[in-house]
Amino acid sequence: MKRLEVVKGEYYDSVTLMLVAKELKKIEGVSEATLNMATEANLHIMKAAGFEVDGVNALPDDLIIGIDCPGDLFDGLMEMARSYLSSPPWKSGEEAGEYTPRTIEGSLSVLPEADIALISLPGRYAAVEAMKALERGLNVMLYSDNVSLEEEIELKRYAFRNGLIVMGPDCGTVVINGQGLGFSNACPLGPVGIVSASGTGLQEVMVQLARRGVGVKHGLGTGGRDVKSAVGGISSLIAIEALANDPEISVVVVIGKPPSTEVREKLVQTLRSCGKQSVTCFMGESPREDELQLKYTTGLEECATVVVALLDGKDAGKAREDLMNEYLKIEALGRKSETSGRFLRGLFTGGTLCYEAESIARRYLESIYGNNPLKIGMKLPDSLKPIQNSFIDYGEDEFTQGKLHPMIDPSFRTGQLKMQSEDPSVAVVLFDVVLGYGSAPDPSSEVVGAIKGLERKRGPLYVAYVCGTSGDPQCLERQIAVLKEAGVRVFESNARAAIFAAAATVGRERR
Amino acid sequence: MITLYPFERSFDWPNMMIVMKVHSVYSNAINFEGEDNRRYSLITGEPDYLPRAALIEALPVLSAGESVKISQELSSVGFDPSINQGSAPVNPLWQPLWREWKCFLLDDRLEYLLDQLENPEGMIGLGPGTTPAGDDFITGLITAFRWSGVEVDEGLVKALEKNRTTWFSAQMIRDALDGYIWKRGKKLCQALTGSSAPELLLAAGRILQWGHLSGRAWLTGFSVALEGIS
Amino acid sequence: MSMKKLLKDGPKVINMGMEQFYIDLKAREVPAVRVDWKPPLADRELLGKLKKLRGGNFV
Repeated sequence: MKRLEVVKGEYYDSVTLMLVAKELKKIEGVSEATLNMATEANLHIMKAAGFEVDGVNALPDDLIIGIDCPGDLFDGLMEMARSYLSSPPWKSGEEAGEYTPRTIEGSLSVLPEADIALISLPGRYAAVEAMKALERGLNVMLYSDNVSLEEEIELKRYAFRNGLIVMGPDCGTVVINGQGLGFSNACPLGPVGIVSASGTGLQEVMVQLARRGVGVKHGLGTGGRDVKSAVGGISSLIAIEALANDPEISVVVVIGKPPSTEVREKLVQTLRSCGKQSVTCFMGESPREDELQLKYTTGLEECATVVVALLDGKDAGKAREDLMNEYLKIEALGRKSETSGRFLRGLFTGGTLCYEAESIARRYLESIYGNNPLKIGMKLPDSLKPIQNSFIDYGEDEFTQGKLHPMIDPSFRTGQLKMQSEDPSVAVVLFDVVLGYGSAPDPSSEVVGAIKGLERKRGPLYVAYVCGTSGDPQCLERQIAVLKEAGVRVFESNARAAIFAAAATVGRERR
Repeated sequence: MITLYPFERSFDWPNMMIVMKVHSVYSNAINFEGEDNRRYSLITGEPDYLPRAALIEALPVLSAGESVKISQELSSVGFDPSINQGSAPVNPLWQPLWREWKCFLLDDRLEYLLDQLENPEGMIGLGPGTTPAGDDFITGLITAFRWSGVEVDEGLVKALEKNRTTWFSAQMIRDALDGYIWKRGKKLCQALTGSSAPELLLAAGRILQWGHLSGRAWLTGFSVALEGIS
Repeated sequence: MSMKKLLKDGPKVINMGMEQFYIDLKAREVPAVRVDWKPPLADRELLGKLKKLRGGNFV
């Protein structure tokens, strides 16, 4: 039986909510437990899961606890939930017996030489804390989203005037001197500097470089909105200049979705005159002709390939050609593959990986729907009910308000993947598995758990890309092996997996 | 009557044989009432040192009301509970940190204790906890004042004599008024005058772990007093 | 502190928010401290009471 209760006006961070839900689910008789802040989006998700949310009196700052269990257990479980919330049994800080500062000022007493604040607080508080950090001379990595455009501009202008940088909002990955902050993979140090508007985009390029033996010194995030004309590329330009002035960097790379025209001009001009080789990767654009010092790419693996060619003193055009030939082989394999059903579902945890995969799929398939589609008019009315060919980014706002990002807690994407797999019209399921610091400890096993025991007689074709390096904590080789053992086709880059999946779907839609 | 022989004691436990009555028994300490009506304690771990305490290898099985003899002839001095009054000033680097500790009052919904600040006698015995949180708060407050060389009101002493709270916390407040402090508190004072962040974080953390609310309330009182002085 | 310093000697991180980021940094021995952040409560009243303490009539 599904019942829910509202806990008014208490603040809980998303990790605590997830861990309490996990503890509740361990108890016998509990088939589902979910703790969410009562935002509209979360209420919608709970309703779809069968909880009676209509008529519930709750504000977005309230907590809703939903449990599916035998009726007589409910009160006891609620009691348990409340007690876990007020004294979490897993708190690690207390074991070490150390006091943890509660303010920026206090933490500066402990680490006066700090140079960056990594802020992942809820959006409405994040901007205030970010400004405090800047005022105390700290650079800011702003992981939080839900920061307004006005706040972003104010923060970045302040940073610019004071010789600092704001990386974000919505910036999940930064690398400084080879050390990753937020979500990052274990990569070597090397003569490359990257400016990226996208978190998983940065991760993918770094991973592809690492696999080719090339390291990165700095990977600076700018947040997704930086290259829009309102923001004017403030952080991107600060970052490009800094990387260009670094004697240990030979190639400067800029990654993102296509910028606004005027910002693009500024970026390109700055790159042309920076005195170093540079490579842009504006995904999904039509290819442009390379210049002497500036190479244009439109895919993440392609970008890495070109960077490697430049460092080796080889011809970028030839490197591209070789890569395209490999892609053609994969495409041919895809077209030959057998499966039942008609449509492709791309189910992603990494936003840019989803974006790139969808851009690729659009070359093969007529219409693609999604929760954040490339084409206007293709937005799904309900992201929980994809239709025909659909690409869903589970890291989008609607799924992450007061909830953990799917790279940290893959359970939601996993549940959706299982549901999609049971749909007999789905021919191919394409998904990403992102490894590295900050990500879940064993994402492949979670997916495989959902794949096994499918009720559908003949399941879909599963295609995946595992974004990670051999130094990552999750053990890349094992993550790949677990998927392969379950019959998943695993490819070596996001682009390759997308090509294969799209090619395998071509022509099936009309059946 | 059995005789107990601790192997180490605090400085303020006289080096002689005393007859005591067991007041309360806990898993890691036994509290006694001496003939002078003061609290004496036997403990098994040195971080738990407080005024008039002695370390014993294992706690004997005793019940409240029993009389025992405790001899210090075999023990050495291991702890000096006196507050170093007006000792080295707090390192200004730590101000942002100790200022955070008053927040515990808000966390634990104990703001009403602050209403008593102008009438501190009213704080005695107030609040939840086996040692009422108000008492722990006052002890921390008084300790900080004494440590800083600031005089404390006589009214508090008179209030204590009226037996308005638990025996244990009355003893604790009395000790603070007399300038005696528990080891955890002493380590905190040392860390505040020093320049080691890990030392300070650990000292504060150890106090927070003590009791359910006791350590937190003590730290809050300590912080509020420092705020008042600075 | 400036961006130049961050790129030269950093990162030395103050983490506010998700603890896992802090844990990962410490595991790699990157200098880091975390802030046990809570939303600011209405402590104006508290400050008012503390101001009275400074006037302190039992000191």
